[in-house]
Amino acid sequence: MTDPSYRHQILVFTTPLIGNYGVPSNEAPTDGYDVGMMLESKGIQCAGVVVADVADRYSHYQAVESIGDWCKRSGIPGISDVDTRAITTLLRDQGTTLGRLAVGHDALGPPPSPADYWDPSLDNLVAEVSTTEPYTLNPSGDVNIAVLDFGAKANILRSLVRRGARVTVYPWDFDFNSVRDEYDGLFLTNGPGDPKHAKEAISNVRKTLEEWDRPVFGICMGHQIIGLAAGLDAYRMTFGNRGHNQPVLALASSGSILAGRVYVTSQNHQYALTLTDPFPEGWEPFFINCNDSSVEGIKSTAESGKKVWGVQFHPESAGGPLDTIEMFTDFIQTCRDDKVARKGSGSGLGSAFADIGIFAAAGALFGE
Amino acid sequence: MHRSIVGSRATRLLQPKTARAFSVARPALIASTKPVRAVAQSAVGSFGEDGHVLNSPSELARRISAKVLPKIPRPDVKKVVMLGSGGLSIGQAGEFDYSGSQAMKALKEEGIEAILINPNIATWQTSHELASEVYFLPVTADYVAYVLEKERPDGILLTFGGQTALNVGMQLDRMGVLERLGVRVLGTPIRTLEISEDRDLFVKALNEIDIPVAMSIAVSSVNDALKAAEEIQYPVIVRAAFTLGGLGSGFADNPEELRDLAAKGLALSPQLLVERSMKGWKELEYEVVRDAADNTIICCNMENFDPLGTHTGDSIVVAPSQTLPDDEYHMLRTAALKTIRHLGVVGECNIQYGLHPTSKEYRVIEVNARLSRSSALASKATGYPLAYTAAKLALGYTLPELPNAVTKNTTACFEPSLDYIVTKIPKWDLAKFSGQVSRHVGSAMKSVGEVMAIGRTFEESLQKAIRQVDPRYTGFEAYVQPEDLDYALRAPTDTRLFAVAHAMYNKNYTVDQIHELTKIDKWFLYKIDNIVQTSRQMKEAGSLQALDKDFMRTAKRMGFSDLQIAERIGSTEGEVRAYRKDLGVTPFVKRIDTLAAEYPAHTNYLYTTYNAQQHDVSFDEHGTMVLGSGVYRIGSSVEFDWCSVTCARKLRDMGKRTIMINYNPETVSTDYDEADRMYFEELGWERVMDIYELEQAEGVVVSVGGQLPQNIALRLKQSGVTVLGTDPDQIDSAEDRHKFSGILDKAGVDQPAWTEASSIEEAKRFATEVGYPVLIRPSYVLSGAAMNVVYEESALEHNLSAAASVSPLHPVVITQFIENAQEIDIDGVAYKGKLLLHAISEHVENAGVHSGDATLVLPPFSLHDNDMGRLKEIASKVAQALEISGPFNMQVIRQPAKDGSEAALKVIECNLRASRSFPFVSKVLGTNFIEAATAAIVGQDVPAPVDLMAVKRDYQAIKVSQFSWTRLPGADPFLGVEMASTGEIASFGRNMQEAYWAALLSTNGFKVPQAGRGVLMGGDTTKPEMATVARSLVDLGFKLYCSSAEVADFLNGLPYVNCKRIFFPLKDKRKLREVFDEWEIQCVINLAKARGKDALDEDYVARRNAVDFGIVLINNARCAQLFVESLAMKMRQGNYGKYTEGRIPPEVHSWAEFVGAKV
Repeated sequence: MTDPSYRHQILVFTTPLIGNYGVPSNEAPTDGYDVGMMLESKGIQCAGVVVADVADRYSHYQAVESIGDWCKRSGIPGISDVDTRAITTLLRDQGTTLGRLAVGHDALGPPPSPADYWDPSLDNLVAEVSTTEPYTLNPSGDVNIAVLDFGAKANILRSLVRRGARVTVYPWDFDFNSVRDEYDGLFLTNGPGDPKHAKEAISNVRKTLEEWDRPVFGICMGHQIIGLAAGLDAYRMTFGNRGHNQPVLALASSGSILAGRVYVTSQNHQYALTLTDPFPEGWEPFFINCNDSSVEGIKSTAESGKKVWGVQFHPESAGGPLDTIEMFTDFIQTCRDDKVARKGSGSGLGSAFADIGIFAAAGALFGE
Repeated sequence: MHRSIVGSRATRLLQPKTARAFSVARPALIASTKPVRAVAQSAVGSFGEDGHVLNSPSELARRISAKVLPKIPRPDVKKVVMLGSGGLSIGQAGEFDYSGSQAMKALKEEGIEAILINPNIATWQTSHELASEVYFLPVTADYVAYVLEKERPDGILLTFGGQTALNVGMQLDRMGVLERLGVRVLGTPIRTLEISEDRDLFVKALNEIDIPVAMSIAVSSVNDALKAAEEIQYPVIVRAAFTLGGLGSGFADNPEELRDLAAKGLALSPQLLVERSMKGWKELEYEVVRDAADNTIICCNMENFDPLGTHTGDSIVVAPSQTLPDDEYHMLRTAALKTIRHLGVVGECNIQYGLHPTSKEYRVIEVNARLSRSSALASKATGYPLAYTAAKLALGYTLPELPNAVTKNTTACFEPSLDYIVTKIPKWDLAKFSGQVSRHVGSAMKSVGEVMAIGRTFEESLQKAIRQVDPRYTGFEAYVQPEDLDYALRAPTDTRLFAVAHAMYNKNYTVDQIHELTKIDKWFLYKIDNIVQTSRQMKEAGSLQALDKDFMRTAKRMGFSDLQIAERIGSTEGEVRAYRKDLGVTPFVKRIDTLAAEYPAHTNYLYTTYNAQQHDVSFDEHGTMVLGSGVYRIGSSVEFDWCSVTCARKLRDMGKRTIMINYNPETVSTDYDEADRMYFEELGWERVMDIYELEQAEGVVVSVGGQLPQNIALRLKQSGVTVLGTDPDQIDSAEDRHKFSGILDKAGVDQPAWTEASSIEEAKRFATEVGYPVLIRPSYVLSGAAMNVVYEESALEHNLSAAASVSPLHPVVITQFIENAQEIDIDGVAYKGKLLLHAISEHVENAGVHSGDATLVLPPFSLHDNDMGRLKEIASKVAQALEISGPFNMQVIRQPAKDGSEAALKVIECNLRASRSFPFVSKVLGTNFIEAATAAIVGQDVPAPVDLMAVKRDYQAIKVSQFSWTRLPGADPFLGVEMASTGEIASFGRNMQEAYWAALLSTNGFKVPQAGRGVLMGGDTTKPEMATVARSLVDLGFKLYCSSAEVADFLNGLPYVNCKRIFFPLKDKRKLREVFDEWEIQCVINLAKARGKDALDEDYVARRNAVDFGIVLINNARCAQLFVESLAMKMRQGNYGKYTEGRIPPEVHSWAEFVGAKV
């Protein structure tokens, strides 16, 4: 619910029992290894929630309020006692749908005309959720990572800083090329809506990819931006890939990822890159979705001399499985190695980094 | 921003009246435009000649995958031995019939010959539909080795037959048999199995990867256990290694408790583990699947309602977990993947955790590197066929290559998502053992079965599950009202859930109070409190008409049954149902599809719920309904699952659509592909009517699921349901003592004298008239066993006053009890009153032992042609009198006439349904009685009558009961008129002795007594077998001991018999153990006439400790006789009790070899 990628969407939970363990406080210490919040952003991002059975009373030692109170406090409507399975079936068959929440008298009145719908996907939602000012986390980190914020989930930032990175977050349309030489790597985050709205970003990133050969990693929309910049096309899927149980097949080995292995991943995307054969020169598909063969990841080829990866799914999870969390370690390690190689000195400091992130992800709101 | 409120298709589903806003704020809108591209279509064509291709609907994905999927070599096997789990016992029940059957289905698909070793004849897996050969032999290393020598297979599957198969596999490996014969262990390697079983190795292995595991010290003496506990600090849990379901385990708070516990544990296992107790922590389980290419997934996780401290088999369990936030869920998931990868499981396993309730501290409790009870539950809860998949993985497939069985075209390498909640409740049958067995549940499992209920709220699934456990329960009610309520809440028993009900309904305990006492997570208690609040509102409403549609729907969504509602507002079930239907409040049918409706499902694996507004299926098939057996319990077990599955398959073969209803996750009948529609649902009248009406079914079969469906047969008929087969009025006639007696008299069939007494005086009068002993069957039981044989007036008085009330309201049925009479079971099939098939099995024990506990021999060993003819005549007369169309079963007693004239044959019981022995007689005689019965029930393709008993056979088969005495501390291992066995096994032989030997050795833990060692004799010296058995044992070289002077005098009075009377401590178990060791007692033969009077009864102590010390116990005179005959025969043959390479004993023949055909 706090993932900015869900901006302006009504979420329908297939899990019928929601709110069981309440909502934790979003307060967290802003020390070197955290990002100042427990959840994925400062508040609820989605427009409404639809659940079958909401827990009025919750039970968890970290919870401070019920999901109902949280929604109320946040001004977000929620509806329960609804046949969410019937809605899922409808969405499966006709794709993501414009909708409204209505109870009591509202629901009994005549339905408004379809033209009265507002279609948020026509707007540039990224601009709405991205940071407006740059800021830095973990200033003492040993590798310097720039993040382009299309609507970053906090756990992406957490996953970077907990691996020892100094992270500077820039607005989505910031031209990274102006500062790129200060950084050891670039990270492109997730974000809501159609990647093609982020035209400036695409052209900026294209320039970066052409001229800069330090490591670049993108997730979700970040991955789509990389793909579009690399010359691939993107399309809107009927229903998209959602949920925490999406199997993806790795087509290439890289870092902790092994070709031929299936990883269970957390996903939430409506748009996807188009799988073409051949791929643009210097690029190869990294992952495909086992069920619909949509592109789940791309990477620069070994021959290209670049170190660029993009994945459609969310290796940082929160929520979801941690099968691919080590991709963050791979990325940071590559940045670190790259930095060492550039400096031509083998301090060896980099590999001493301990993976402390795995069991420390913050609470999110949906169980499997 | 646009603010207009608009309607769409989606919103029409949101029913305004029942939907409630839990947060009302600004209206919201979501995005959509026209679909651009659908999920890629399923494609044909395969890639990669070796078939290493992703199972995906996307052709492109398949093509690409062929280049990268690892080419794991698939073992080249043509013939594979599979080990079953043997007789059903506590801790190891029907779940292994399900898992073995699915595994063999997978083998069959691959064209691999399956050789099955399983003496459990009532299982579905012991059929030639699945196996090419079946051996009804003990699942012990010796016998399996002989079968391996005989069959020379390429591979063996060890993980589908529970702990029994696993232990045997490891033993075979140690014996070097597998290596010598070149038999490859498929799936999880032996080394992994050893690590998961040996606690020391296990802890080491987990330490290697920094996974916290419950701290544990292995000990092999009581003193070491005490030392270990000092180090770990109390409270500690003691676990016995290599045992089933936590047997020999327990908690100790202090050295005294530990001393006791360790002594008991060491009697069962050479190694004990002393561990830190984590009582009160959350208990969770993850089911993990891993392939040889290291792809690892979680199929399902489960959370125990009861916190750690109660064995998971005795806990109420929900799936998926409900109180774990994402991070906790994934912390444990990640640890599970890491652990299972490290251990190297190939196939399926489960991992159990304790999780601290207020921190992220967790510990691994154990890993079962095999299919288990939990995996059966997970499989049924998700629709993911775990056993089938595990078998395919053992054959070298990888997960991405296998299909998701429900969607068919997506891959099995995924994690199911559930859009419902599943609640499992164990079924205990402790009341059957009167006061002897403690009702407390703890670290050793006591339940005999379990139910699984599906709902879309916890309240709904919980109340459904309660009703499934026992048809007398209407839902969450205060069925117990303990005086010391706080203690009842604090110390878990089989009825704690009802104590919670009492506390909430009647004593106004708050959720906090109950949590404090029980440590049950408050979330569960809040939900239960919703039920309680709804109940209160209902009572306040006061009348049916005061319940409006919204409230009625709320109540049904909370899982209230019509009967529960009726009870609260002074109405009847029928009235509530009619009123509710008028309001339009009816259940909806939903699918279990593994993917929460995100992909279309191809299976009809269904449940009903009131938490819905739309059906997932349409009702245009009008199938035939088969009502399954419900929960496994003492008296109704896997045999009825075999009957239900066989019936459904036969109906399908006859071209009918089938609808199965059952709720037992340990069954084959609940596999989603055994019927056209499988309803995982209640078997009470309300739900069966719901489904019948929705499906507009052609008819209902009530006679293949045991007693449960029979109970509602008449009411179904009266409700206008087409009940197929024998008329329910006739079923009622057979069950009503008065009607049945009249019918027998009219048909000219003899029966023992009986009466229905409504006062003690009446009872006494009758007993004096017919003479003692008499069998009493009170209709209302206060305490103690329901049925009893009483030998004298004082006992009659005692039984009818102290143990049961007798009054005009609660009459007691008293039957003349004929001593020393033989008992005979007749199983039959008739069509329109004409007998089609019948089987006559003879009991080894005399009448007085419940037919479910008795040893059955087929063909009979002592009945002559004349009696066989008369018995057939009786069966024909009864079939005709009751106009039977379908299966039936009778028990007849045979009393030899004193003057040498014709023996008396009296019918003591008749059930117009399939009986426990149907699979046994079908498999022994080579003719499927249920298939014939099914034809008769629907009146289609009815076979011509045939007299199977007229066929001469050169083999005999014996069915022996499997008891679970070890699991029921304190219970008296005595055979009486109340059934006590939990399962059965059967073996074949060229003669009765050979068959009995194999069957006895098939019972759990039977250790063959060695000549030269001791036998403890005891019991009733007036039994003629006392002398003959003693003499034979002496002849065979055994030494006889006894504890009573009477027995010593009697035995020593026999020529050439010497019996030493030994010191026999009745209270000090440790001393007693020393005595048993000192005299090397390896067998206890106790022929007592009646149950032990108290815990200090000498015979009771002998029987009980035989069981506790893992020594052979023979507790029936006729069986003792047969036992010594078999022993003598085996000793003559030589090679008894130990494995000798290449010396295959004569009973090692396959079923087909005995019967002469593969039926």
